[in-house]
Amino acid sequence: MSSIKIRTKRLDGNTQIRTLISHPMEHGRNKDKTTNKLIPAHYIQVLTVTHNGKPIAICNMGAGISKDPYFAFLLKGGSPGDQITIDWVDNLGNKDSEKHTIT
Amino acid sequence: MKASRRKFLITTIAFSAAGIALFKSSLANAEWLSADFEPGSFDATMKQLLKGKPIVETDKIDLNIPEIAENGALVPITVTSSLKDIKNLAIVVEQNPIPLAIEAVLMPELEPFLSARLKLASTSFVFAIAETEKVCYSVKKKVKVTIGGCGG
Repeated sequence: MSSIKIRTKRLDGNTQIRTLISHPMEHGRNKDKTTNKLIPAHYIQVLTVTHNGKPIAICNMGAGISKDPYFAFLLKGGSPGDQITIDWVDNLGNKDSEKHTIT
Repeated sequence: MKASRRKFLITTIAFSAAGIALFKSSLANAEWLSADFEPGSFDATMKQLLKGKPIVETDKIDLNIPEIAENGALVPITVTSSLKDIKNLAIVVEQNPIPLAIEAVLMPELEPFLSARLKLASTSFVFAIAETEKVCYSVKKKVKVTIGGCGG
């Protein structure tokens, strides 16, 4: 199952793209309560939003973003059938990608 | 029997080496701006972000964030702007160990709009910085955190 959920909504001729990613977003300073050891940093570094194959937003982020990050973008125009793709890469090299079609 | 085992081992090693190579290349392709996300002081981060451009305070950026956050681990923020030629939108939290939270390159196809959820280590000023061709526009707002937000 993909870690990314994408929802789109038409708003006054624009398209709102909302995404929810399930990711721990650990910044490396939290301690595991049972073992008393630091939890290693694990966070998304780059998030890319693509519209019909063209990147429209490239977000670089650190661990200052909450666990299970949520983002929203507003696309100018956009028509039903357009493809939205969201990709992320984290600091451990894991990645995921999800496609969505505007309805 | 022995020969096939050896062959199996060799192919396994070859494949895992290829896997590691792929993994490395994907890391290199990510092009994360690591210099911007160095833990450090707020001033150092701002200097790195502005790249020598002058900073102007403006009222054309709307920073929508609660003034009092009950839980610093989850603070919703929405940045909208009426400025036209924004290339780059950054959110900086003054008191966080790593002040820069997010730096988004927005292409002309997108409206200057970004919504996210931040972690705040303590009560702090939150800055939204919009980079245009010549100047950087900034807007700040103070957020009071009632519980320490260090928890993930």
